Amino acid sequence: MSRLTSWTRSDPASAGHLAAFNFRRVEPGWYLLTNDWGKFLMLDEGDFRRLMTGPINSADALYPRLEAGGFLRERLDFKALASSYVKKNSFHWFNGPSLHMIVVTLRCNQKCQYCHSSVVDPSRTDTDMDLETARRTVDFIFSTPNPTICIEFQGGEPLLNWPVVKFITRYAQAKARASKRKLIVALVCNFTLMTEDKLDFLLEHHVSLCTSLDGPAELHDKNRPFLGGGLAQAKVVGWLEKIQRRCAGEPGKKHYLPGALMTTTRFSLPYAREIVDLYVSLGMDQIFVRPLSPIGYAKRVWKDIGYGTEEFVSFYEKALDYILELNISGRSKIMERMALVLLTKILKGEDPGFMDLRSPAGAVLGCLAYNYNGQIFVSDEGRMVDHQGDPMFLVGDVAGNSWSEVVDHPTTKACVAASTLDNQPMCWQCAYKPYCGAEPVFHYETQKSVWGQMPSSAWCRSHMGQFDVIFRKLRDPKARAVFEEWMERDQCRWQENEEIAAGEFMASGSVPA
Amino acid sequence: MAARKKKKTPARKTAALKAKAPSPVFSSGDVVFRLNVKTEGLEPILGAAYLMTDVSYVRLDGAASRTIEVRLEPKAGPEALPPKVLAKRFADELSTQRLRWAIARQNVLVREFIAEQAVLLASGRLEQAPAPAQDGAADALSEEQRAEIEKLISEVEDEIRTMNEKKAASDPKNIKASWEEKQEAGKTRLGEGGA
Amino acid sequence: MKHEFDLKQGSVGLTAPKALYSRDALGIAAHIFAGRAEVYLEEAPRVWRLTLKARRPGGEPELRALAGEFLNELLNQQYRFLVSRFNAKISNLVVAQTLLSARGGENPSALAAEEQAPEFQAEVDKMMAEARVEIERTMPARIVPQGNPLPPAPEESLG
Repeated sequence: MSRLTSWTRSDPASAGHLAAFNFRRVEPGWYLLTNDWGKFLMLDEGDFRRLMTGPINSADALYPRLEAGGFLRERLDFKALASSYVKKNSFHWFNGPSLHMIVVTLRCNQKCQYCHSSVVDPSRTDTDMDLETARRTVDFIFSTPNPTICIEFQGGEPLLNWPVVKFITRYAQAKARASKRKLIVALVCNFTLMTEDKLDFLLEHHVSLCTSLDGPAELHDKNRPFLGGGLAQAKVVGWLEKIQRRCAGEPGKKHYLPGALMTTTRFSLPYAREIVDLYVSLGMDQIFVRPLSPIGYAKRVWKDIGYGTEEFVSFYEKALDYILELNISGRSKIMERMALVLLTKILKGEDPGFMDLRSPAGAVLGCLAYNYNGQIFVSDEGRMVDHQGDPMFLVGDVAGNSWSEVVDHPTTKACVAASTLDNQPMCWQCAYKPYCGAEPVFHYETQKSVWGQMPSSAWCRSHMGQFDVIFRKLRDPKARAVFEEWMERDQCRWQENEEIAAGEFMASGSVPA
Repeated sequence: MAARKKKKTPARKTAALKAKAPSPVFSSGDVVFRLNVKTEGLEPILGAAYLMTDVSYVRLDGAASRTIEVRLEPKAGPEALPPKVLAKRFADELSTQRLRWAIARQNVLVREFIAEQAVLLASGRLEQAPAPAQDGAADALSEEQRAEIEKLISEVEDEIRTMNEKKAASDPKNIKASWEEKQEAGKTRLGEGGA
Repeated sequence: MKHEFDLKQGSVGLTAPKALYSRDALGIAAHIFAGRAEVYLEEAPRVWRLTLKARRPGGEPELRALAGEFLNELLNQQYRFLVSRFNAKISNLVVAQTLLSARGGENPSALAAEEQAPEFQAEVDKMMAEARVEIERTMPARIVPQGNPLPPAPEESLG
């Protein structure tokens, strides 16, 4: 059986009554059916066999389920299916990227084992973004057409170029106010260089904060040591707790509670529960169980810190099972971020804004990465490929190119074509097609082509594995109830955040209650 | 009593979906299938071969119009599959690809149509589909809302009457016709060729 | 039909039928393999004759694997063409729609009226001046460019 799973020859199928759909035998006993419009059905083997071997009578109990999902050729509601398509692919109609990642410096005070950013020594001030480049970068960002802009500071360690972080924040907020555009500013940093003054500025200017927290100290410090050695985790946890206390204590700041991401390395694999326990103990409302991608520097050290896709999927499932156990028992309400992303697509038929799982992918269309020197890349991963000496994903420069030139760049078009799943020979027949994506930079780095070769793609294996996990959990009523409660809570969180986005806040000039 | 006429399923399509499993030949550690393109279909052959590239090196020989030889050389390594397992996997996948491609060919116009409709909808040139009714919603309706709904229902009923009278015009692309009907009418969309 | 190995040259010869594999697919596969092998192509009446000269030394098993992976990539490209043609209408619609939407029209977003006012410019100049002072006061001296942070990575297999 191939990775798409098979229909055995013993039952000759009859296709005449079937609408367009893909299927997958997720596990023995049942099949998953999906279609381009995001509808899904889980059928036991008997029902699936009946569907495949002959027309289903309208009096059959299965009939209304098939009809409602658009799986019966003679009963298609074209308008409703078109509406579903529009909703699930809402980003198709967006005016350009909303996420702009600005790398304000490559300098860093840590030497993380897997660092994509290919960081440099803190003495390398030639890799700091200067003020003029910063200004041009913000001007370029505001020349892109999306009415909502999210600026995310990255590095290296962005706090090492603090004056430029402040300038960009203030300048972007002034431009957002003047042009009446919605602006969100976010800072991704290691927290080890945080001070009270910096925190004052960040909270006052409504900058969202996010850090990396890989797990308990022995794991985090192995993954993310200080340059020259030293223990970092205690500092990260200390600042997380401090910022949480500040946000809890100040009116209107609860929406700026800091977030944290973990990156899974080989060293993480035995510690799924311990990692989750740490996040729970810190009162985090989410954990993002993220795989490591063999891109940029991580590719060089993959032998030492990497793992197989099956190992990651197993780790993911262990972590998710434990998280579900905590939710079901009432001990914690922590949510898993990737599950939220997938469930938003599956259960709500909406796009959650996750760039990598879009068709076409978010490269350029949804996000751009700006290097310290003003060069523009299709994504942060594309920028990392450039650090290895390959400028394949460079699509412009803030000093010399317009937004339309970036969109018209051949690399942009190649990434868009390659990540449109109807062009992908395996994806177009996959049951996960309506919810998945094929990331061109990942495939270029691992398979030497933006198109990739899906049967042997680690990206494909990993995501198929995670989808399998999610759909298996959806068959369990208790797990499903937890997932639905997460959806509800996540929706409320976004609705609350909508009211006090930075640009709008400053434009109104009033302090929210 | 007159015998009821059985609906004819075109012999080629039935044969294609019900074809016997092709027999592999095992040669020097490789698995070789010789496949009749007319019976199996070019797209399913290439699709099944393609899906074997994670576990084997795939070599094709022959002609797209007649017979294709698919040679599978197992990849070495800890996950190497024995030739017999490789052969079964390919045979299963070939059968499944025939089904997947049959469904795809039959429905490609529908998918295209809905994608086009989606573009029109998103650009405001088509009315939204009504949201599904919620439980108990009917009880919450005012008199005015009920009257509006009754008016809409009678308009839709008029439209259905008109549509039935102009049946051919309501499905200009003959989307609802099954693959068999199109075959019989000689309107089958040609499967895309290979090389 | 069998591969021909030249261990001295570090190369493997193979054929691919023209009836099944197109010149375009060959070209793309050769480009993808450029880091691993030099690909030489000779056209015969019914087949493409290919010679893959490995860039890294190896014996027959490595050359066999190289030839096998090349043929897999060739099939990947050829089948991709077929699938893309089959779904062309939908994928072209999606690609065109997303690119046109992203472009947002021919002209970039114009500066808001408020941004063109002298007061706004003065505010921005002030922000820059304050930032320059802070840089002078708090940041280490800027050094001259040192070149790319990392040397190019050697060709490595992740497997």
